[in-house]
Amino acid sequence: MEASFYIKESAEQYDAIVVGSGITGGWAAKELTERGLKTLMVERGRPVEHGVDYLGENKAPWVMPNRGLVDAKVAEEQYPIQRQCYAFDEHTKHFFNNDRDMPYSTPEGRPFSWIRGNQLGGKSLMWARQSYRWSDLDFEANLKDGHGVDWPIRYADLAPWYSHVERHVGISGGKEGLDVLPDGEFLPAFDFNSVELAMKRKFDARHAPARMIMGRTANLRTATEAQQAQGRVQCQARHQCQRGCSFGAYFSTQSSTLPPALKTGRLRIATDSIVHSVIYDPKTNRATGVRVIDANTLATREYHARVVLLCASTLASTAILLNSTSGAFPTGLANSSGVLGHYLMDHLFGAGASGRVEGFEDDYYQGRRPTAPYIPRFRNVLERHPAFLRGYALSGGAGREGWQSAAAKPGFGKDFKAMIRKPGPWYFSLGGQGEMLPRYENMVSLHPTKKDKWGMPLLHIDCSYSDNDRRMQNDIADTSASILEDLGVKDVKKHLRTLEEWPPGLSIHEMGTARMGRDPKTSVLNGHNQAHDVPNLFVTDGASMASSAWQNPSLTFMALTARACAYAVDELKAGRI
Amino acid sequence: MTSFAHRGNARRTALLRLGALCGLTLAGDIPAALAAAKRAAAPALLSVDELALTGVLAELVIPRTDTPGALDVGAHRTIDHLLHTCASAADAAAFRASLARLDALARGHAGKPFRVLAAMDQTALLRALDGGIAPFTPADMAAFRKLKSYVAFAYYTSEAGAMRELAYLPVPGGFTGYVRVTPKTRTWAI
Repeated sequence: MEASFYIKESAEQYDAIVVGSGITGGWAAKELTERGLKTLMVERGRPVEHGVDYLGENKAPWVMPNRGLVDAKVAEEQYPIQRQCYAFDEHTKHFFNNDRDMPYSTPEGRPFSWIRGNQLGGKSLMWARQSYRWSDLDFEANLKDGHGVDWPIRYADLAPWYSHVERHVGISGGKEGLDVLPDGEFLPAFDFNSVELAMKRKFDARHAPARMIMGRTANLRTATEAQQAQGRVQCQARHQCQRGCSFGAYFSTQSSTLPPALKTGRLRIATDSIVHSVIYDPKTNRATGVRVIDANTLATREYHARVVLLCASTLASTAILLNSTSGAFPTGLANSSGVLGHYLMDHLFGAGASGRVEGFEDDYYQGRRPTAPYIPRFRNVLERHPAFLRGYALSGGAGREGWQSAAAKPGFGKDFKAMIRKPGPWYFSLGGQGEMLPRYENMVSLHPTKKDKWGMPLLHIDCSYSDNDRRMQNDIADTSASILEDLGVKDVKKHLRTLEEWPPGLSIHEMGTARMGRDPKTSVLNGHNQAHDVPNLFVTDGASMASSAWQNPSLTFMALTARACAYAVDELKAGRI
Repeated sequence: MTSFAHRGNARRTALLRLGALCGLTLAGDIPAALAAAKRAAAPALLSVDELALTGVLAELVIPRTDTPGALDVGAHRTIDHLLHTCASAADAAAFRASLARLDALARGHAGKPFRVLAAMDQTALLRALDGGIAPFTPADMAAFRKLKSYVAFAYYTSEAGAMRELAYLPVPGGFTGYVRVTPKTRTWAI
């Protein structure tokens, strides 16, 4: 990436401003520039150059000062929230937000874990890459059970856009013909190992129409010619994704959306630029740009454009709108409905079961697969479950124990060492990912008094689980255990994290707070992610979601973003916005 | 100056004792270990005696065989560093308490600290500890499992532990769902 793409001060009138550079910001930049718009990407964090700035990549544990562990004092003082994330370690910590510098507030006794990236590329650098289409089961859910407003779109509206993004991203997965999880444009799926294959056959036969499939992931099992031409190489199965991948083997802004956007010559990037608010002109009822605080100097500046897209992440995009007040919008820009900040959702993680698998002593595997087997939703599909609405997916898989679990076994000395040298017994585990209902009381607002070091009001996050969520969480643990027992897994143990151990947010699938809907009185955005109130303002990240479904949401964010960008460009060209 | 020299001597004495205990020969490994000790800093958290006992225990858990053992890779120093830098104060204190408890029981049992017991006596005591058999309690057993996990971490994340004892493949090139286990197969290091 050439330095000439970076700007600071700019009097230029851009066609579009994209706030954020993560999964959706990168897609918006690619779509808008390829459709001819001169676009400015505004990112609050520092630049990260593909490969060059992947500081933890290719480092064996013994060359790291702490063997991959994070200094306890640093973690406690600077990363008390981020340290809860599974991907946070000595190799990756520079990609996580510094909690001391960027605090937020929660009510006493109601924690929320806000996991954030703070650099060019955002969380696209450390995401878990699971990529699934939603179906009409999901888009119709709110309408059918009355929780949340009806989605203004259906699967057919998004299907071509899923295809559009999948072809570019590179999703490895199998075609399964399932109604609950539509097929897409796939690269070949990753392999099952021997135990998983045996379990899959048993599961598919006994639990039809439910199926165990290989998790669909944005890692290149093989690379297409187009992807190779872009400098991307097939996945090497190193299992280092969250450190950044010089092979470009998984989708990130750096590997996938920035290169084509920059190639157009129409993209400029302003890093270290914290968006304070969207500038609004009441005379024209249009957004005219953004006010920015320099992250390093605290200087303020403005950028101007004909259309503004917020892609700053679910909660950051909403925080910007809440902070964009004016006479016309005293409670936040585009908030005539009053629902801005409300209906925050995450996913239910932390429940499941695992156990021991006998036999298969002669079977092993090679490489560290970037995905795992997956059982798409089966609850509340054909039958109505008595305890809860909506459903969940299970994911997990089999492996052989290594040295990590040896210490829990009896023994020491030569025999102990010899035992660890040989692959240990097989285990199989399942964990759930459940849908959380959209509820008005799960909300974010700006703290009335507390501010961060840039003078920005802190986001106050008030979110908790409902009884439906808890009942589903219990069923995830119980059902995981009964499935494993049915498959012949031994010594099955359930696990169920308490709320204290797994606060909302920690699943890192936060969604909602600027939801789409058909009615401007009850939603912030229309079916094209366009603000009902301000026609040239779009929000295309997770903030726009009207429900959370049960699938990992990032692929849907991408499809929504690409679709919204195409619409915005058409509207702009037609002179309607 | 005096205190540094004193600490250096104590370390030297401890290492000599350690070396003797672990069957290192004076011809090769002891001078090498001493040279390393001259370069090595004082322990970060543990006392010199605690570090030495950690070394003895680590080597008993993962001894030198046809591949290096825990002492060869400096597992005790890694444990000292990680306890100091990455562990919680409570975990570090629990580790030190478990060392003190083992030594106290060794003294009660044979009148000597654990690390100067005869190898057979050490093994017998550890076997009782590992099984939670009297005089050890289930809590002692749990503490020893914790120590074993530290030793395993320090050893198998070392270069020799990963590359010589286990199979380390930094860039597998892709994922293969099935490979046959042969007599030569070793556990993947990561």
